[in-house]
Amino acid sequence: MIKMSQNNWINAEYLLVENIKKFNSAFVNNKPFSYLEIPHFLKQEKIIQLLQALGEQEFSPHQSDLFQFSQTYDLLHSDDPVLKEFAAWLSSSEMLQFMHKITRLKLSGKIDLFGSIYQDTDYLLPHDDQVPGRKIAFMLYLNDLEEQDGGALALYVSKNKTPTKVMKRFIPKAGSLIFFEVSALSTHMVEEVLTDTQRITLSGWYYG
Amino acid sequence: MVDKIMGAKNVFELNPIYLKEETKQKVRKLFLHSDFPAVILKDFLTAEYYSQLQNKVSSLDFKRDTVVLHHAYAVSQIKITSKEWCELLSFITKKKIEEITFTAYCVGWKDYQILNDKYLEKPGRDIVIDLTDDWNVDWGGVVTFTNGRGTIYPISPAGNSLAIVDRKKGLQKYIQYVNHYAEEKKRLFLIASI
Repeated sequence: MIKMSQNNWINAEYLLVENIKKFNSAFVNNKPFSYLEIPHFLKQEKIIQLLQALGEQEFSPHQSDLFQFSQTYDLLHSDDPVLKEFAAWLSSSEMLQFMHKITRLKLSGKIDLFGSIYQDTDYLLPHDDQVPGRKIAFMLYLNDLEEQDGGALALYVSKNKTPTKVMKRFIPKAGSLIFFEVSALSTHMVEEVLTDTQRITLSGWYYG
Repeated sequence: MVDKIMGAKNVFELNPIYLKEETKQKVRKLFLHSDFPAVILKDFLTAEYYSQLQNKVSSLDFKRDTVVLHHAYAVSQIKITSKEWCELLSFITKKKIEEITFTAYCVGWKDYQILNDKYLEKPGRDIVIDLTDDWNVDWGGVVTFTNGRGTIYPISPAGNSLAIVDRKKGLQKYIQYVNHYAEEKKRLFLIASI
């Protein structure tokens, strides 16, 4: 079992050796590219605390050819005690060890962390996230959406290194963690939100 | 297969105002000397010819074209050889034009064109003709030019308008994602680079 001195964020069962082995196997074998979804990763009370903390943050609208959504500034520099504690845990050596054991990727300890809100008509079009140093992209969902709300994360399968079609979709569920290896194959998108239900996430990247 | 439109018979094509020497001079000056070198000519075509062109373009054989990391829309092609058009555009842009091959775009919900280093366009002059009258700008689908440094120049949708954009070095264009409020509606426009 991985010991997490700072952990009061996730259910302890996820840190058991046998579970980490299962996660590693799933991560490596998942298609269309290496990813893992861990449902109910965050404890319920922590989801509520994070939502309350994000409610105090400023979200700025962002729009370009590729996306339309609202985002906080980098939460690593937040003064909010809950977000500060969360960011410290996310980049702790124990959490880095947890991610390394699952992904086998060498991580430097550097992370980015943002809060995002997607509202009706917001979207993030297909892209691969590749920026020098980025190893793992992660998303923590803080509320539930249904199929009719839109906002699903879609992963594309590639043929000859060219993305062709969506192979896997995830409808956001509160407390779920999804992460994937950033590579030339990791084309993904956030489908347009279609209703008044907001899609609220904490997301970022682990660097190597 | 490129559909061809010759000069229309027995129909005035261009709004007569744009054939007046005074207007032509004014438009050329505006195009050549504005900060964002572009002009938009509203009510560019006569109502009768505009309607004919809409019908012609609507009946083109549009094919879905998707490159996930760059675009998703339906396209066709149409060539315009009208003397009236070519003379006016040659005058405004100071470039000899004898015919114009347009890409006809038909965009609806979920369609887009994003910027991608693999699909950069060389500098040129873009002509954008809007053929949809009742398109709500809030639905997206707006042809937008950007210098890649945060400055954008959207060409607001307006049926029967013609925009000429001097796409200088560093200026690229994209088509804003069309959202679900467009429902089944389609937006038609033509773009040519000369």
